[in-house]
Amino acid sequence: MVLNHCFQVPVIGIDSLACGKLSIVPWNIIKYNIFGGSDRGPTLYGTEPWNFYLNNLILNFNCIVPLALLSLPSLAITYFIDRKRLGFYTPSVNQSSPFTLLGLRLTPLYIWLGILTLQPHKEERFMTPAYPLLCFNAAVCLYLMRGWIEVAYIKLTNSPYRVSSSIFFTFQYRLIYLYQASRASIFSNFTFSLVVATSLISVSRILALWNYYHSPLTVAFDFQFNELPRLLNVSGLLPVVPAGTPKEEMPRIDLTPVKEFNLTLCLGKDWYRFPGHYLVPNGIKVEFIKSEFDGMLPRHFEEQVPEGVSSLAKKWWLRPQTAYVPTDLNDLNKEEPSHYVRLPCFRSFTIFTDSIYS
Amino acid sequence: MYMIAIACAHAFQPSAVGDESRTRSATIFFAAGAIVGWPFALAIAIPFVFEELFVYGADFVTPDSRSLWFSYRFKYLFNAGLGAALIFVSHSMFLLLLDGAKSLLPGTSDRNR
Repeated sequence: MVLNHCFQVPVIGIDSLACGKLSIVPWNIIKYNIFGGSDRGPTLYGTEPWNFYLNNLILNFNCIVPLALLSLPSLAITYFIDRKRLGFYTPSVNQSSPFTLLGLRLTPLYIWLGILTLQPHKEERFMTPAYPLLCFNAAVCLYLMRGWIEVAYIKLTNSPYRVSSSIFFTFQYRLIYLYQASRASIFSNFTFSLVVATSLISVSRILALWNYYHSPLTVAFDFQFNELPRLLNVSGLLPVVPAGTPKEEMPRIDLTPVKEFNLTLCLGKDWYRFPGHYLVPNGIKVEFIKSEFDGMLPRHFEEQVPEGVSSLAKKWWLRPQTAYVPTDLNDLNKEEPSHYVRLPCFRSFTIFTDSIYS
Repeated sequence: MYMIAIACAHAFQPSAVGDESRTRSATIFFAAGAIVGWPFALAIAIPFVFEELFVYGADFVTPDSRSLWFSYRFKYLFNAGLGAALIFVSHSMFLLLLDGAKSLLPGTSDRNR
């Protein structure tokens, strides 16, 4: 209880200060998304087919996804062929079966995947709360499958068609001995090879993500470290360094004079790939230009504290602009033309990416 | 994600009368995930609540002790859950008095989550 207090008080307190009035953000999320009515709600922001999460999870988690989804059926199979896998006792009616308990621990992933699949609006990040559960379910499934292989192994080595002729006896005896010696390594190799395969595919997925989707970050880097220094250089705003200065003694390039140019960085259909103001040097404005997208785009915060901001936020919050409620925002995902600048803009850079993948 | 992982680490131990701290810890971390993170993540706690109330878990329960057992389990979950809810409501009221706002529920959030 005390710990719970520790979360709720700061959350409501900070949200309320930043908004300048009492704000219970968790409730607002539920209110907008479930009780929003027919005009509002998550479906405004796009809908996806039912198999969206399955496709996405297989991309991100490869072999782990089928294992995780098979965990509950595997538990049923283990119940029939390998009941001792979860302990060497038979529960009485007054006790819980270990199968019930493990089954209950496997269900949250199915519930989560089921709820999200039923929603028409789907996003990749919505699965994140269940990522640990996905790994847990897959690990349980692997553990159960290893039990099946052990059962199959015992079945095979005790098989009735064992050759009983005395000529073959020694040979067969040695074979069983070899089997038993290699038994431990067969089972651990099975689980280990799956772990290695998953890891390899996952690492190649990380590399592929960088290879195919790095352009927004690379453009931001190039803008700050090549394009702006070049601009300052040709306009004579860089300090003149005597010829022959060694590289390690070159002064750091100061980008502050860039604000003299009053530059604007324009984003077209790349608005959703914009890596953030943090990667844009100070003194450069970022604006949107019209693209095929016809929903609502964000606006800038007010630079001065506007009229009508509550005194609570003014007094207690470092940036009372967060408490200002602008009139040019809506919760219906309607396009707002005042958030665009028109091209050609005076002194601007424009980022457009066109890829065959989008 | 992190809160769910910690909550599940507590919830995955079999529920038992005499181990109220397990119920408390799991509830707190599920609630933290819902309040600080995303309220819908509470759906992951449904099997935990079910087990807490209806599954023997680590307990050995004979038919005549069943009602007593249930009252214990109910008390644990009730304490953990309602305690959280009461604090939530009382603090909302407190903050309402503090800034003198007219409405408890502010306008719709523009957060689409």
